[in-house]
Amino acid sequence: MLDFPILLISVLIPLVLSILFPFLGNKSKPKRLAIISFILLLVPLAVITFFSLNGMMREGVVDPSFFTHQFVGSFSMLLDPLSAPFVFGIALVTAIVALFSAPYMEHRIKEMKHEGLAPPSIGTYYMLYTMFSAAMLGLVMSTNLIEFYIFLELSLIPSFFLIIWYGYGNRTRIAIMYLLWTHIGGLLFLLGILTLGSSAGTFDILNMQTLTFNLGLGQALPIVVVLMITIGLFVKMAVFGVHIWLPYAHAEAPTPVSALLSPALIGISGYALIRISYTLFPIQFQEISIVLMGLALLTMIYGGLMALAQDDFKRLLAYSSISQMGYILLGISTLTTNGVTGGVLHFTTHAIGKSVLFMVAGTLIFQFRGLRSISKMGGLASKVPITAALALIGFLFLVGIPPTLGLWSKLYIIVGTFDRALTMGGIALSLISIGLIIGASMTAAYAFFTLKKIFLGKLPSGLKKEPVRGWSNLTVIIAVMGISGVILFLYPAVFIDPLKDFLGTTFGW
Amino acid sequence: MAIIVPLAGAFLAPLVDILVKRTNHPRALDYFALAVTVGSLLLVVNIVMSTGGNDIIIYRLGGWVSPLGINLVVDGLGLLIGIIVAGISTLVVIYSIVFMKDEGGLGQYYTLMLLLTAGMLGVALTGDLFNLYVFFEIMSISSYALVAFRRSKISIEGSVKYLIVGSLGTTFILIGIALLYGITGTLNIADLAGKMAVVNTIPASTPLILIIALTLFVVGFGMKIGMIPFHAWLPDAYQSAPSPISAIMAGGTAIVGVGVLLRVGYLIFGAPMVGPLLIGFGVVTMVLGALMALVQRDLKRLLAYSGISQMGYILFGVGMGTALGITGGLFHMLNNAIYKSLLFLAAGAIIYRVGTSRLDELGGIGRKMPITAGVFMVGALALAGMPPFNGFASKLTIFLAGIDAGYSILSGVAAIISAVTLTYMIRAFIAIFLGPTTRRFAKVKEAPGAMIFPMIVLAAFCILLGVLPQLGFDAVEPAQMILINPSNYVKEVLLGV
Repeated sequence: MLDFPILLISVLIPLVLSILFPFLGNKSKPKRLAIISFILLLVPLAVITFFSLNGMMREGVVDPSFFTHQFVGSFSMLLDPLSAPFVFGIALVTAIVALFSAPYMEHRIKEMKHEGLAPPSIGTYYMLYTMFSAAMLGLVMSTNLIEFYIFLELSLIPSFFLIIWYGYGNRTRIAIMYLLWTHIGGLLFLLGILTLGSSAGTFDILNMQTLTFNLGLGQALPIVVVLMITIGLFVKMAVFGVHIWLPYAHAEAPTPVSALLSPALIGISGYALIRISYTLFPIQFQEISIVLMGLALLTMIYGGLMALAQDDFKRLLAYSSISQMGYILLGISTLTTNGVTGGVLHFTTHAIGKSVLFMVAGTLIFQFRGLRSISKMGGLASKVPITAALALIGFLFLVGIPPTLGLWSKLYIIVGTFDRALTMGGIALSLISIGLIIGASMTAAYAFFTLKKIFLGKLPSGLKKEPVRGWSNLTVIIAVMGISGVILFLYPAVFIDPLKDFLGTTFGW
Repeated sequence: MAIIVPLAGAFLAPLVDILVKRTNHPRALDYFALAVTVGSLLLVVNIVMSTGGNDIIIYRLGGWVSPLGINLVVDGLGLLIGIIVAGISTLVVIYSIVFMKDEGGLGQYYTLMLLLTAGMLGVALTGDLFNLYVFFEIMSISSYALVAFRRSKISIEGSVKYLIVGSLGTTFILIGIALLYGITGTLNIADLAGKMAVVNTIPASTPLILIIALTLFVVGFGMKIGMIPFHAWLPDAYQSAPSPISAIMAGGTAIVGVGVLLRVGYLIFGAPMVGPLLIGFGVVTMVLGALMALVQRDLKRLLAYSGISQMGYILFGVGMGTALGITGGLFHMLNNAIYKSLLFLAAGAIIYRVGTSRLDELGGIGRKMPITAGVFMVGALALAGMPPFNGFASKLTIFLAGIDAGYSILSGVAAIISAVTLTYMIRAFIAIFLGPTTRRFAKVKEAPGAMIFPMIVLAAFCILLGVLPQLGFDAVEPAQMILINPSNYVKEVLLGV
């Protein structure tokens, strides 16, 4: 327990100060706003990195509680081995994408004005962006179910506005669709936690060891509650069956926002599954975990297949997010040390890899004047070699090839899956193996086919013109992101070891 | 005192109007009305400060002893309503300075407005049923007249509808009062409550006449607050009234109606009798109101239906009769007053600048009126129960109370309805503020400062009570205590001097 609420403050600094952006917006240059936003988001990143490196995170860093209420319990912030990979992934991605946003959004706003639209200024963009980022950080560090829900909704509102104001295509309809789907998912989650909390008399999840939450719920209710919570989270996570909103929202959001939405926001549900659903209802979650594994494989394969069929690059990335969510869910639903470690780590992998890819997509859109259709691309490696290399790195993360963090996360997921599958008998084992092989090969297939189609081969005649220049510093930003993932490949123990210890002591695996 | 000031102000207003016309100071009337409302607000705040909201103060008019004479009772519930009413009246008067600038007959307007305020405060603070009825009529009649203030065909139609339903409602209330008087021989609320408590201790022997009286009260007040199925007048009246009047009706009279319903219901009849009735009406009102709001094409009608729907939440919350439920319901009542008047004022600002409130005509004025758009958004999200705004805290409390009290399914319904609420508010927001700016609105400007100011104050309260919900819980706690434990109230009024 800390004496000083440093985690809370590190979240509040960007959350509260972001309100000032619109007042800076019209006078300052986008670049300056980007740097301010970057610095604001660097605060949480620095705090988290510090705690992760000096080992305090191992025992769990807990803020003193900042809000207490007799029905609701106390609100606080927590950084422990389970939340650290999530917090780190989000902080890293949001800080770096803040820099990437400036040129992209400046261009996007100009383009929209050209179409006769009047989007709000870039200051408003940075306000929403920074709020969104800070809300996600608060979400992952919540120690109270109500607090978790509040941050969940707080992250929803700014992202909704980012899509409706700056998005592509039929942005109004898509934004409403996004809002309603995820809000209804959130409400389902809310009803679940309210039922839970009202029988337990508190909404704290911090001292879950001492709380026996599901005692007052009787025989039939726990499974209902766990299903409500889990399905609510599935909507957010876009698991197969409730994924319909995702390809639209993620493909049509402005690209930097997609780079946040796609890897960071939806993966948080994975965290909530283990932190809330499993921790509070171990028996019931164990019962449904077999179904979840099947669902995970289905999501993985479906996402992969759909990704293969896409022509729009951003839509392809959106479907690939669905398939990667399948991996995360698979790792978590194995309920083994290895599997959960892999699933959690895969969040960070996916956050880095997918944001690299979305930024690559954004760079291509800018450099080739709105080019998104893969069938119109080809041979771009000769024009933009660095971007091509970055795209390769991004896909290596997803497929899990060294030197990327993806290797470790995929490895752990697969090992964990077999740990679990070996206890389930022959038929299940062979089905899971087959599913896993198909799923993994799908990922490799859409990754490398896409790379080949975009960057290799003959240059189509439409793209003979020189690409728009002046964006070389963007590739530096993307490269920084990629490199940080490579560093994590070299030192994954920072997160893996504490996490394994944590899972061992907390759940007794 | 708090009642006398606006009442006297109301009677002085025509005089001031005449003086103003003679002396050629066109703004003096506005400032007079403002001074009166600010004065009554300060008085109410002063009472809150001096009592801390927990004590019960009794003014015996004419010095008669309690059950005999008329007395005014200042208690937690009355103060809560009083402070809402006085605060909103003040803001609405500020708003009216600009909004009504170009209209004729301002003398009548402010006279009626002050009468309305006096009536509302009187209803909130009285301790006598018949006195309550009188103030309730003052309030109602002035609001009928205010709805028809524009004298256009549509506003007269709205007013007449309101008049018919409203006077039917007050008649029901009067008959209810008469029945109670017939049974117990008293009109003092505390005395009644004491006598009824004796009757209620014998279970399963509730006299039929009491049930009739209760039904009359619920229906009568239900008509005034727009409870479905007695709501038909409300959208017409709100739509056709000048926007400040819609705001004061949504944030003031409707709240007063609920407050009185609670006072009469809980103090006299007791929670076990009233509760299920309120929950039943509440849920129906909530669901149908929201569904009707979903299909509206006019902003003010939409807001009117959403007001009906929110009334359902309040009734659902307080109907549970548990401490948490009543707290949630009263907190939602407070919040609802804030954001609903905010939204009506924002609608007024749009009408003032653009000249229409039809959703299909509006569009793309967000860039032209950024502050209005911002406060509208705050109000809309608060209404839909999104954090970090006040509506979230109170709705959450209501859901939680519902699950706690064993109404899980109804809580689920309430949660779904809040998603519906979000849908129609977002739809309205998009229709009004987003999209390309048409040539028709190219010259639209931001609303003037005197209209912006009240909206910003209300929006600030939305955020304040959302970020620090404890303030709201503290504010409604004295009122909740009164409803949970009426015997204290009875004792204080009858014996305590």
